[in-house]
Amino acid sequence: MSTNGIVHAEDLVKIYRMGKVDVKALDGVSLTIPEGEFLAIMGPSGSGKSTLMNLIGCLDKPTSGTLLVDGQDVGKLSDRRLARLRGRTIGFVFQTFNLIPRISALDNVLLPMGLVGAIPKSQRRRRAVRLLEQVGLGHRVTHMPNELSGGERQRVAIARALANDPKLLLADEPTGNLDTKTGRAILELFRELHRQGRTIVLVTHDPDVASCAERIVRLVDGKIVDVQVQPSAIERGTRVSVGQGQGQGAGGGGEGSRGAA
Amino acid sequence: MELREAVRLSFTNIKSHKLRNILAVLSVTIGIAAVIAVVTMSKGFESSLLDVLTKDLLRANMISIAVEGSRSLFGADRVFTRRDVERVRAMPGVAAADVFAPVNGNPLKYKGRLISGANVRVTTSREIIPLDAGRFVEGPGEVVIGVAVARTICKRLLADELKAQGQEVDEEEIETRCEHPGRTPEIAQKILGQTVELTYIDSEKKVHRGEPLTVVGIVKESEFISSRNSYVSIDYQGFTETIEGEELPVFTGLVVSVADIEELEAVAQRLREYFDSYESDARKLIGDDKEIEVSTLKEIVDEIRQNFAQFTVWIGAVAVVALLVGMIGVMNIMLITVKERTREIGVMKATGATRGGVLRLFLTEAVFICVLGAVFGILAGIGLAEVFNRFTASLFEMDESIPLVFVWDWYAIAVITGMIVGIVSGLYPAWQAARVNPIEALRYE
Repeated sequence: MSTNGIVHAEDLVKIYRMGKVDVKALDGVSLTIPEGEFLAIMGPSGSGKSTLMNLIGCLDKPTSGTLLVDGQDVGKLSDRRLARLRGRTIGFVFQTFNLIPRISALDNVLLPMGLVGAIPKSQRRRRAVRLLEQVGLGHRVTHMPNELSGGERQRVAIARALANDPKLLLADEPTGNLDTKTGRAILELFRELHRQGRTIVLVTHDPDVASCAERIVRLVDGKIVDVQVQPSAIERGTRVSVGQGQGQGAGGGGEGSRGAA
Repeated sequence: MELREAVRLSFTNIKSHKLRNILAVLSVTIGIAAVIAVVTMSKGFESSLLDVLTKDLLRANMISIAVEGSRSLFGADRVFTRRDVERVRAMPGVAAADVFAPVNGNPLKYKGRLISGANVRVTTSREIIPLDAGRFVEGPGEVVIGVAVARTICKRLLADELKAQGQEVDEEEIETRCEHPGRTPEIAQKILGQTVELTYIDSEKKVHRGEPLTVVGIVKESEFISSRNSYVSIDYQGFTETIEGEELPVFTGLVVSVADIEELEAVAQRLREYFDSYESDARKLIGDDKEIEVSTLKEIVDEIRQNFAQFTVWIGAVAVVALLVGMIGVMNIMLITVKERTREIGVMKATGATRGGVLRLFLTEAVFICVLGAVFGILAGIGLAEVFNRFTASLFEMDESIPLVFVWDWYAIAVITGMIVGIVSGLYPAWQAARVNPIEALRYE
């Protein structure tokens, strides 16, 4: 299964019921994200990028189609197993940071460890401090969220996302609430994490932000309309224009498709 | 989620909304405190009551007989004739029967001056009336005086002494020194041996004026015995009733001692049968209107216990209402908390918290608040009871303070109740929290 990448989606459909109308948020999306990739999902609002993100993040189940995350079929997992998968495999970074305001930066990073229990107790504190050091906040460990700047809060949030050593880091507009300079620093942090081998999926509507990624997937009306491999990110980067069956093309994904391009 | 994490998170939340959570804790505290206070006080009363009753007055082998409704333990209605007493004494299993009756006469005089409100009673008992000092009367010419009488004598004695020495009389000081005459050996020594005078009519209607009586003992201070009553021997018995042409001395109360405690119930039953029938003079005198109560110590104790138990049940009902109010308070706070922390719940779910984990987190918080409330309630209740005990003791000028009884079983009940209240009041809010949709929660502002 893992040969299919950390995320493997085939013909994903997600339909929301809004009152009496069914809204097709995702309409047959196929996508494979190999381990170690830095992928950006772009699209205008309402394009389904957040829906795709929620599905990949195991916060939601697809209406139809297959979604494998770390080899597990998300559609078939119980709530409990889904929570476990989220906790151990995925780290979330949100636009609004979503730190718990009452507890210190360190405790915010410790929280997911307590929730999941994958990291032995004796190592948690040391690990949390190290993660905060890694995101450049070694000197702010005991600060409360309201004593930190926006950029610092997002760094804490990234450290928190890394708490349980997830294979996949999902970031939803992580720079959306930050000024350009701070945003750039955060993106640099993501790039650094990527260099260290972490798989990163970044959702954004900002082309500048997306340009950090190795590969950009564009969504419009719940469909993938374009997959672009970044020249800046990998040397033989090629823009792949997607016409018919683009889903398949992207779905075949990973190194293979890039190699073929 | 691990319990320790849940408690820690709950604690930080409670800490960050101090006032609100203090109020929630308080809503539980008040109910629990009220219950603990009342239970503690009632147990205190019960224990002091039973203490006096069982240690000082009645022994397990005794049966007391009096007409119902008499406020004194030794009766008020003069219905038991000497013939009744003789028959009771002759009953199988009866070791002794002591009688009580008022003297037909005036109150006592001391040094020619009347001691107001001093009643004199005759009794054959040498041991039922407990003493603080001296001994009981052994025959005519002796008296055991009540505490109030002893105080009066003490005051007059001390005042005379001071006057004799040419010193000024400090009323307040005398008052203090005469507070517990029987328990102050120096004072008791002065009182014992003093002479009081009794004017009374004997059973042959002969008036005796100023009959001197030597004080030989001072009655123990106790809630069960009037401090105004003094006791003399049966020789001063004066009241009579004529039954079937025969004039017989009459008594207000009887205390029967049983030789073998195993026979207590059987003897009590025999006594009941006797006094229910017209064979007894008492029944002839009283008619069918009133009951003659034949009570063993166990029955008296049981009755007191039962009264307190009923009281406790009543308190329990009030407590349920109080706790219901507290429960609503906690539930309200928890619902607000869940609403406020929707985003946080979203984050926790996104980072791997299960529904069960979130449910436990909020349940823990509610239980934490309620158990905290219960613990504070217990402490406040004990404090309240002690304050009230002291207040009561001083208000009624009780000689002995009401003991502070620790009702451990009730503390356990209070903490368990706190837990239950926490679970009940936290369940709905926690369930609300558990079913939060993380996607919506993360979008929630």
